[in-house]
Amino acid sequence: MNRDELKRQLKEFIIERLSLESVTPESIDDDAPLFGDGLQLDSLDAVEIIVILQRKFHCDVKQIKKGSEIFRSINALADFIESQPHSEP
Amino acid sequence: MVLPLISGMAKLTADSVVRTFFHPAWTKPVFVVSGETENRPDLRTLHLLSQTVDRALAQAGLVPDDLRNMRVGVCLGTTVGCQFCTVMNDLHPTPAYGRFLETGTADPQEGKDYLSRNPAEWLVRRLGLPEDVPAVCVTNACSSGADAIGVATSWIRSGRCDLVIAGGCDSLSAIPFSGFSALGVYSDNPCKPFAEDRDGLTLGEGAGILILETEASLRVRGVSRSLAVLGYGSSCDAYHLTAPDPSGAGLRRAVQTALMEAGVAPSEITAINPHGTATRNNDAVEQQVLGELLSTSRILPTKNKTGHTLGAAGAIEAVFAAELAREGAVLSTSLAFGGSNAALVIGPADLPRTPCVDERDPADVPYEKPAPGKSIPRRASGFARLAVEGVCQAAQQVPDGIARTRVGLILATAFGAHRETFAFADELLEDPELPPSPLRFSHTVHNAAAAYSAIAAGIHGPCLTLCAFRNVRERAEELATYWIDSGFADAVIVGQVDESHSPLVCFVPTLENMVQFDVIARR
Repeated sequence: MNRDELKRQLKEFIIERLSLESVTPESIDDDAPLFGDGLQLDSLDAVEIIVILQRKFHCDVKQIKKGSEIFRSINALADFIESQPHSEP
Repeated sequence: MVLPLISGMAKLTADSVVRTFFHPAWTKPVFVVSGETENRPDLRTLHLLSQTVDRALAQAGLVPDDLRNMRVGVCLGTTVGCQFCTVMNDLHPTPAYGRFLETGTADPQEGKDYLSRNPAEWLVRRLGLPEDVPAVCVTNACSSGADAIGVATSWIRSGRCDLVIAGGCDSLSAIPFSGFSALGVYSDNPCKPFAEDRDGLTLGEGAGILILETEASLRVRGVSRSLAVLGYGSSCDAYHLTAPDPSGAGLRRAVQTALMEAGVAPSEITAINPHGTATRNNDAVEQQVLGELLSTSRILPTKNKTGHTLGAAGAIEAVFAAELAREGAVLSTSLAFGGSNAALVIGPADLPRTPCVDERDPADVPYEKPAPGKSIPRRASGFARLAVEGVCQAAQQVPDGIARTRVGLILATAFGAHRETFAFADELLEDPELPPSPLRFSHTVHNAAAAYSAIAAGIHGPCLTLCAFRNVRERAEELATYWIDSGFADAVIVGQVDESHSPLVCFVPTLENMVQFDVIARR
């Protein structure tokens, strides 16, 4: 899967699972912060994203710590997924 | 002044810690009652309950036949006990649910059995009591057991009952186990409340029961008892669905309310059985608030011995508190999912009582009604959305000039968050090796609907979810009226929410959506 397709799927899963009703994949900037400003997600959304990484992208998440860099943006999440040995959804 | 005296008490908690109670892929510790072989969480909960009630009644010097001549009530806290048919602890669907998954239909007899398993109503039948005795479960997540005892004290104080069987019960269940794991708050080792290196909670199971009785009733039986539940407090953070308000303002209000009702000064509290789940957030808030308010350093958590027993925890901890209360007043605190806080003061009935000083929160502000058409919280599920709409609409009727901490909420429901529980169970059954959605887990808790409503409508006063099949709305309205009459709140939004959906509608063909909220206020 190419990186654009990966990011599109990631955005779709996040929009669906976090009930971001008025958001479309196109409206999420790949470098915009997910927490704080940007999408204004919180800690409960963060644990949901960790489960999305496990269930949909078969990631090993044991090393992810609170406030990890991987939550910075869609690009950072995509980097993390691509760094995994088996990351196909 | 009628005091709820403790005429009998008992608790049943784990006697061993095992690591593979559920699916073999899940290796985290759980505290189990090792003699209990039932694998179905709802029935297991009822077994734990009945053993504990039998012991508490025996200690009170009563047999079930004695209860028929008294005005009795049953009020129990639970979470798993009101989830009914979903998954077994070895991750198979429960029989009726399994058949529904296969065939899309359900046997009406199974529907009837299903309706008979609310623990409070089940206990009424088991004890052979008349069908119309007040019987409800409090489904306020982790503060349920303490809140159930609080509701029971109101039935005694108001003269509604001579005796109330009060407490809580919960068995281990795959649903909270996998849910708390997915939330990232489950420890790999038995929990360490208040320790610097604490890293999360450990689940346990059990039941705690207090038999509360009026002095007049005890006198008729020729029995005397010296301990009483002196005070109860409840509040809602209205802050976040799963995280406590880090300022601790809600917990502080619940503790102050309980002390005020008890007529006990903070300096007179001799020991505390805190909630102490050993999660980073919970213990930090509790340590801060209890340290600021009270002078005793005897803070004695017990979840490192019992595990977190969810809806039973507040009741089991009330029994621990009562065991310590011969020498002076003991405080027991509970912080729940959804931002609910509860506090109980238990002590000698003859403790000198100081006149109540109403120390209102100086930062308290007038209640602000939600703007009409205010948007529903983003993540709220179907059941919660129904509740939020009903509560926000009713909130328009709250009289002006009431402080926001004096506005309460009582949500009554027969079935609670069933659609959400089935959705979570489906995900769990689909692939038990992977963690399920923590958000979906948070929606399986009945009081998520009340929590979302409190956040949307800005309700900071006492907040309870009551669950029963019979007369649950009447019980809720009765309680709201008592809260107003006794000064526990100045306005209470009270009503019922139930949602008609598949598969529940197969078990209960007559079920229709119901949302109806009103306001009862001080005149």
